[in-house]
Formats: sequence, structure tokens, C-alpha cells
Amino acid sequence: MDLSLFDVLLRPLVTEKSSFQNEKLGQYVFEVAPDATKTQIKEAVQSLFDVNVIQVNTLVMPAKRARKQRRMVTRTSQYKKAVVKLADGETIEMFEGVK
Amino acid sequence: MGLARAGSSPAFPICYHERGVQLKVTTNLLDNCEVQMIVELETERLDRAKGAAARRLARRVSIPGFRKGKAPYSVILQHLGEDRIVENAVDDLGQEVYKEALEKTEINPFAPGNLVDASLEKKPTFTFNVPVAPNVDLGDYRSVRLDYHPVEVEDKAVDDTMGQIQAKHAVLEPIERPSELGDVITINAYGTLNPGKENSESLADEKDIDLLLDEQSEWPMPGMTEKIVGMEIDETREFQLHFPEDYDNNDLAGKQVHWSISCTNAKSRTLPEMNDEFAALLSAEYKTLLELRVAVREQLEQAATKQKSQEYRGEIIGAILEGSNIAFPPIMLRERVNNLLREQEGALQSRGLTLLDYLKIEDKTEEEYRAEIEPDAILQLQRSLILTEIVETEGLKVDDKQVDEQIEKTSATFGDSADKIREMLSKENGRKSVELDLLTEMALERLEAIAKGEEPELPPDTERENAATIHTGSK
Repeated sequence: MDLSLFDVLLRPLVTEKSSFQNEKLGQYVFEVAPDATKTQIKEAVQSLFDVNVIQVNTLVMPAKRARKQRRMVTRTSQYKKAVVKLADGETIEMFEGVK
Repeated sequence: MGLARAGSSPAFPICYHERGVQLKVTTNLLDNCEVQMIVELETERLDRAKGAAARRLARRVSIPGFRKGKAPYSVILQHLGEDRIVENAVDDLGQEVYKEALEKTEINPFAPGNLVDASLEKKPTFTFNVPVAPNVDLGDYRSVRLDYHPVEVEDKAVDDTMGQIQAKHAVLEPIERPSELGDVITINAYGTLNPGKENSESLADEKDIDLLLDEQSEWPMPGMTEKIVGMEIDETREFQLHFPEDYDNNDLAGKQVHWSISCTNAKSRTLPEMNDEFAALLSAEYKTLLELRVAVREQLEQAATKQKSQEYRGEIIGAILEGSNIAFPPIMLRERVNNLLREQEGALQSRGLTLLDYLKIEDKTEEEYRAEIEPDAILQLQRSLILTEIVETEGLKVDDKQVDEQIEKTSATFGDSADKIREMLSKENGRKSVELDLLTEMALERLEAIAKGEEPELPPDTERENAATIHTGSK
């Protein structure tokens, strides 16, 4: 796979669940390129945020059907999500919000 | 999995500080009866308020990825921006801090203070302006002396009034003959100013007006009587008249008017004879004409004395004002101006106008109008402050009995609706306003006595204090 560092990580996922993971479990959640591997994700996070990654779990979030108005059925596309665990005490500034 | 409770305890900046202890308050007395209160507080306090404000705001906005009210502080901050949170926090904290600072400084605010400045750099600092009670120094008001000249009613005034009463009871009878001086004719009058010229305009267009043919009459225009005397019913006369050069109304002086007068009715007017019978006819109270004359004189005297006394009181207040030093917080003046505006609005409403209409007609903005009535408001305010102070220093009091009597007296003048008025005045607010009116009257009477040199005695100190507390309690 020939992905540059910046192509691997697509965006950070900030939700109620991911906030909990940040604070309590030291885990950071990203949406990543569908064909990115765990190794690539680990390297990308380590070099972009200057932290040590202990573990990377990935999963493909399934596409979901949703209804707009009454009849219109739309789909949300599937995407790949990565949960990255950092070494104890390390944080990623971006997730902590603007201080 | 524990993740089910994800986000149940978001990371808000929480500081466990004892509340209200770390305030640093400095106060400056400003000239205009306001205290400037500068309150410096711990940064943690502001952070806590920001947290609370953010939590409150978060309950109202939906942030993607979070249920309402569940987003952590950092996310809310990103989403709403710091300014909005700080604004909310300052609103809240300002009130809280204001209360605490007042407690700490033991300032007794006269009206709600306002936050004039909030600086949040380094140490959060709030600046409040707190209005305090007006400061009234009457000076040596007890040495004010003004000459009082009792009013005298001249015989001529009594004669005039008697004449009016006589005229009111005149008997009118239709006539067939041409009208004479002393008759009353009903006319339709049409007057054109500057007839036949470019600037001619209608001066009067009146229908069915009763006119007494009297040589002295200057209405509708001097010289009119001469021209219309002798008119008969259904007769029309056209003539020209000039306003005299020294006429009161400058716009009309020296102008020419073309009149077209038609007579629709004519009556003779017979004045009743002025004798004891006439007096008895007017009211059972009078047996002779002399008694009527005495009563008229008394009435005139009363009215004149009342007016004179009002003028006199105005002069006294003016004299006291000169020697006194009165300071009041700006909010009092603002309130007074508002009151005047409201009164004005009420008066306009009865003519079917709103204040906005009026301002448009006068071509003024509200600010201009406010500035215009401000001097009046200041005068009113000073007057009421002086009177309040007089009530206190002179130890004037009214008791419940006096209030009851006054309520009875006032409501009795309303005739049919007396019960309604009595009920209204007997309520707490009504009683208070009656009490205040009585006190004002007493204060004015006292001032009059002082200015006339009667030197009424001051009450002993203890009584004075009691009176003062009663009075301030009723504000």
C-alpha cells in the first residue's frame, strides 16, 4: 500500500463515546483510510502527534440506512475506524480542544 | 462494558473553594451619590462560572456526536466559542459577586447597581456603580424668612363675580323686533382673512354661535358688535373689519377681514334684579343679598389665599434650595424623567396620540425630549427630597386616625363613587399615598410657618428619630 502519512488518518472522531475513551482509557479514535493497515496507522499517529502507540484496534463501521422525510431512504457509507491506545500519560492536543 | 456510561462525568473545570471568601473589594465614593465598587476575585471562581455557563448553554444546543448536555467543556468551548460562554458567565457571576461584595462592604444600595466594567485579564475584576441614598443638606433652612402679604379681595372682583352670577340667571325670550344691545343673537359667521388677495385664507367658519350684543365684546373681533347690532332673524350682513394695529395676536394685528354673518335666532335678555329674593332663590343658605355677597367674597378670598400660598411655598422651596446642598444618584433622575414621560404619554393618550406621534410632530428624538424635560425633573426631585428631609428633621408624623379622616374627607368629595374611592384608599398603597400627601402638606405648612417667622418648636431628639424611621419605612 502506498499511502502517505497524511492520507492514513482522515479525521478524529469526537463523540460522547470517544470522549470517554480519551479520558478514562487513554484511547484516541480516528476515521482512517479504508485500506490503511494497523501498522500504517501506528506509524502515522506516532510521527504526526509525537507520541508512543501501544495498541491499534480497527473496525469497519457498517453502512446504515436512514430515512429522510417519509419515503426517501438514504444510506450512510461505511468507513474504517481505528482506536489507538497511547502510552500511559500521553495525550493528543487536538482532542483536548482549544485551550 | 463500561463504555455504556460513556461521558457521564464530563471534565468540567471544578474547583473546590469555599465560596465568597476570596473577594477583594475596594470602594470609591463618586460625586453623584454613587459608590464605585471594584471587586477582584480568584481566577478559579471565574473558571467555575464558565463551567456552569457552558453546562447551561450545552443543554440548549445540539453538538454532533453528543446527546444534549453531555458534551465535555472543551467540545462546548470549540463549538460555541469562548466569548459566548464568558458573556454568560459574567452575567451570572456579576450578580453573585455583587451581592457578596455588598454584604462584605455593608453598603446599603438605594437602587440596584450596575456592572460598568468587567476585565478578565490576569485577575478577573468587576467594577460596579452602586447608587446610595441621596445626600440632602438643607443648610440653615430655619433662618429662611420671606415676607408674606395676605391677599385682599377688592370690591371690584366681588362685583364682577356677582355680575357673573346675575348673568348666569338671565331670562332669555324670543323677540320679533330688530336686535338691540344687550340681546343675545345666534349667528352663522364666516370670516376671510385678507379678502381678495393672494394670501387670503379662512379665519372662521362657525355655525350657531350665541353672541351677546355688548359694546365691550372683543369676540370674535373688535368692532363686530357695532356692525351686527339691529340684525333680525334670517338677515345676512357682509362687511369688512380691520384688526387694530396693537392687537394682542401679532399675526392678526392690522389685518383686514371680510365677514359674512347671518342671524338665525334672536332673544332678549333680562337680568334678574339683585335683591334678597334673588339671593334666597340661589340657595337656602342666603337670606339677604348681603349674605350672598359675603359668601362670594369668602370664596374669592379662599381661592386667592390658596394660590398665594402656593406661590409663597414655591418661593420658600426656592430659597431653601439656594442654601442647600443636594446630591442624588443618576438613577433617581432617570426614574423621575421616566415618570414625567409616562404622565405625558397618559395625557397624550386621552387625545388619541402616542408619545411617538407627539415626538414626530415636534420633530424630536426621545433623547432630545428627555433632555428637555430633565430640568423640570431635577426641580421636582429636589423639591421632594427637601420635603422628605424636612419631615425627618422636624419630626413630623401622622397617625392612623389622621389618615382615616383624610380618606373620609377625600372620598366624600367624589359623591356617588365615594365608596369606591374609600375602598381604594383604604388599601395599603392608598393609605401610604394619603399618608405621604399629609406629610407633604404638613412639611409645607411648617416651612410656611418658619418663613413667616413663627419659629415652631423642634421636637426632642428621640421623637425625631422615631419619626425618621417611620418615614423611611413608608418610602
